[in-house]
Amino acid sequence: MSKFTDFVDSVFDESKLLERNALKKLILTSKNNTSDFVRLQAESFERWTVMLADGELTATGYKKLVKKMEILTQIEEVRLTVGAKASAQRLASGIQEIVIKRLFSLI
Amino acid sequence: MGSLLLLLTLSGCSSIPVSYYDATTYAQLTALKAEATFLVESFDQKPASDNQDEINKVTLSFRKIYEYEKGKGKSNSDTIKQFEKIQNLFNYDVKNYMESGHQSLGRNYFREASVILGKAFDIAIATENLKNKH
Repeated sequence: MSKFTDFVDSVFDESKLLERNALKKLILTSKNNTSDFVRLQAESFERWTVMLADGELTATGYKKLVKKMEILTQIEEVRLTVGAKASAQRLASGIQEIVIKRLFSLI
Repeated sequence: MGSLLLLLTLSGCSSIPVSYYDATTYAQLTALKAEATFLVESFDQKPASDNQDEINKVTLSFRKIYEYEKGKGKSNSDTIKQFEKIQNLFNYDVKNYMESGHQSLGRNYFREASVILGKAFDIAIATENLKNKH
């Protein structure tokens, strides 16, 4: 058992078995996600939880770090939007260049 | 031919505000990332009174870059949105440092806060790299 799962098990008692398992599953699947961003977020969360267990973070400090995950996600969402816009822009420019300037000049 | 015309019409649409890659933005973000993360990391070791000059210096750098990005106009709204969030993360770290003092949130709290701030910059830098070049 890892320090992370040990700590989660100790925080959530038997009456919160559903939450305990859901959290462990969420972190495990996120750590295997193909997205670097999701994987890093899960790894950070796990590290902070171990730091909380080891007394390197206070409960308030831990909560503040966890809340920041949401801000990082919002910044990542913008990156995904810009990536999509840039692709659409490349397609549009490519069509203009190839079809209008080159293909139509042959017709 | 009809499909081709439709595609051409769509390709001519300019409803999506798009900004282009800017080497100045890239350089400013990478430089500010180094300054800001280095400063926040130091919050675990130093009392706030020893860091005031550095905080003022980095805060000013944030403001200068914000004004530069804002000056590019509406087409740059995505980068501005990201930068505002990064600036808020930094301001929040400074506020916690000034109000709670060093080590009150944990002996390595600000080291982790600095990692988050660095990641936020990395995403903004990656975003700039995604933009098309003129």
